[in-house]
Amino acid sequence: MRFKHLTVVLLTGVILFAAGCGKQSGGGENPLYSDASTPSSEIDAKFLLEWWDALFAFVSSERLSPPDASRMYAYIAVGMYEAQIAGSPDYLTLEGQLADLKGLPRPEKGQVYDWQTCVTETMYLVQDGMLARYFPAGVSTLNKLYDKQMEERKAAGVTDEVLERSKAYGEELADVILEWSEADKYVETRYMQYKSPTREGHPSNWEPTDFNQTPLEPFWGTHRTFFVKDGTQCDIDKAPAYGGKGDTTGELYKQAKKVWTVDKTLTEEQRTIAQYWADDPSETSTPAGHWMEIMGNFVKSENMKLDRACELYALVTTSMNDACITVWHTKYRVNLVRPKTVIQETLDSKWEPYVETPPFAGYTSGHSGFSGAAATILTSRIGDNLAFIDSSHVDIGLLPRNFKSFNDAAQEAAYSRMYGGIHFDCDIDDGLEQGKCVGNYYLENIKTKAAHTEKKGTEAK
Amino acid sequence: MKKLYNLTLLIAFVTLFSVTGNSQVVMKDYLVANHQGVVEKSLNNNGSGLFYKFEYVSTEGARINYKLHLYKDKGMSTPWMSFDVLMRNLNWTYYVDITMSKDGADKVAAMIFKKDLRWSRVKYSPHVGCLRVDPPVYERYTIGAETESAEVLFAGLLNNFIAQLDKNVDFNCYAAAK
Repeated sequence: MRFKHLTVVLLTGVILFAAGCGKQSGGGENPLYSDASTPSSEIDAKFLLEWWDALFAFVSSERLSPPDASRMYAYIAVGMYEAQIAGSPDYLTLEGQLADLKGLPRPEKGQVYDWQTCVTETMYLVQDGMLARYFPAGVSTLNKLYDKQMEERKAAGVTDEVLERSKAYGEELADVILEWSEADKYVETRYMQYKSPTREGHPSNWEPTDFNQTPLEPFWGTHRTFFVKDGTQCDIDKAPAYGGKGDTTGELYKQAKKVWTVDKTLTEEQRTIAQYWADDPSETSTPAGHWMEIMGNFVKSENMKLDRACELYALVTTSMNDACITVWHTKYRVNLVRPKTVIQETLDSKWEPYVETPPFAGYTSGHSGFSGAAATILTSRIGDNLAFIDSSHVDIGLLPRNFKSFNDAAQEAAYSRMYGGIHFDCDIDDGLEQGKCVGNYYLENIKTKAAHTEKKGTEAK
Repeated sequence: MKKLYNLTLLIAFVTLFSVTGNSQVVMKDYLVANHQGVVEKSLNNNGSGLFYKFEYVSTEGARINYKLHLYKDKGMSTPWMSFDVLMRNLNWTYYVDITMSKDGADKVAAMIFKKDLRWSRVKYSPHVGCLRVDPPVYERYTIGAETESAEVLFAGLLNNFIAQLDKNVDFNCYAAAK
């Protein structure tokens, strides 16, 4: 009897071991991977850039705000990552890791899929559900791109049967991603009323710096995050106080005087930096998009394959979105006044910053948060001390800039806000710290690489 | 809920376009043409008029190159001084950058016009010794009523830029620049 039990246990063990080593669920491979189709690790990722470029143009022409844009980029990127994950031996699904991401449809085992078509279909439908259908003017560009890419797949020899199966899978996945996006509190916060705290008796409090300003996205910090616990996880509270018009000795006054002095003696290099990173929502793809454009150049120059590029997009966009929620949480909790208000009250009543002051509190800086998160992920995934040229803004007439590393670019992006006259030192330093906190949390806890990939990476190091 | 949300977005979209649709001031054909005007009672010309001409040079993508000539005489025969100018006309913002050089160092006087807000601002921290007023006073300029023609509004925009520089900057500092 005892021997019989042992046999059953041993047999079960052998079966489980064999299953673990099989092709469908490899030894350390992505368990969803099926080798029935060309793996996504062999597919060129350049077609993704066409989509992102079209979306950046859309975001700019429709004036999406930085939070709005970062949210949309992140859902699209997660959709595209999941659309190819069953074709990747080396990467792992984000289902069960990102907040509330569950019940994702999976391709039928043993069937052939064209992962490029799956990704295109998912991207197209997710962006349409989140953006394009509300802004009909730009839809035709995206429709044309979709048709062009589908034609290219046919021309590449993808059969109608595989094409239809892949499109159907992309559609099914996009539905779930869109449904998931609708539960992040975005819709609820559209209808919430906000009353700015008064500055009476609280001179440190923010007030609009222009008559036509209303606080932008006061409840954004309450939205569901993708991977960090919530907007409070990387919260920070080191903002100095401001005593009002008579305060000429306090720490915030000193920081305001620095902003004013820098502005008065602005060098050409500083002016160029202020303009380069202004990333005005009406003219560019916003700060998050700017970092994605930098990343896109690496996708192109390193001839990245689909799975690796999708992982980069997913991690960079979701971490930037979480950094945005974190920063916005701090902004509306601390509600710190902007340099323009302090400078006009204490130093120069007619002073105007070089860059337009955005309609929300300064502490902490959004651009610094986005940059801290993006640079942390990119440094880990692409490399440190990697010099590059950023030509993202050539289309708006700004000349390319050279950087020594991603962190160098992040530092410049963050300090551009001081040169532009819209942020204090504390806004910038603490925003960067928050972004890095989010980025590092991702790197330490999210599992996107299958065990054998991690092992390969360690051996290579 | 979702329908209401969609409807709200659509209304916001339509409203945005109805508000901004009539705010066009910087017409494309203005950016290949020359523009000239005068700053009355110029501080840089002993209270007489300071004449200026923005001369179109070339267009390279989004970069539109002009030359700014300043004249002390009404006949505008020989420029008193000249500067390189870069204009960029984006979706919602129009930039004019005038590069001023002294002792081998370039500095840029910038005018930024927000098309939807219908006002512009000027920023310039000139070379040491070139300020008339310290700190300089650049006042926000709101363009005229929508009943004015775009041509008149555009001319006002450029004129205000030069007038604000005239008030704050001692152009004699740059007299060597030609």
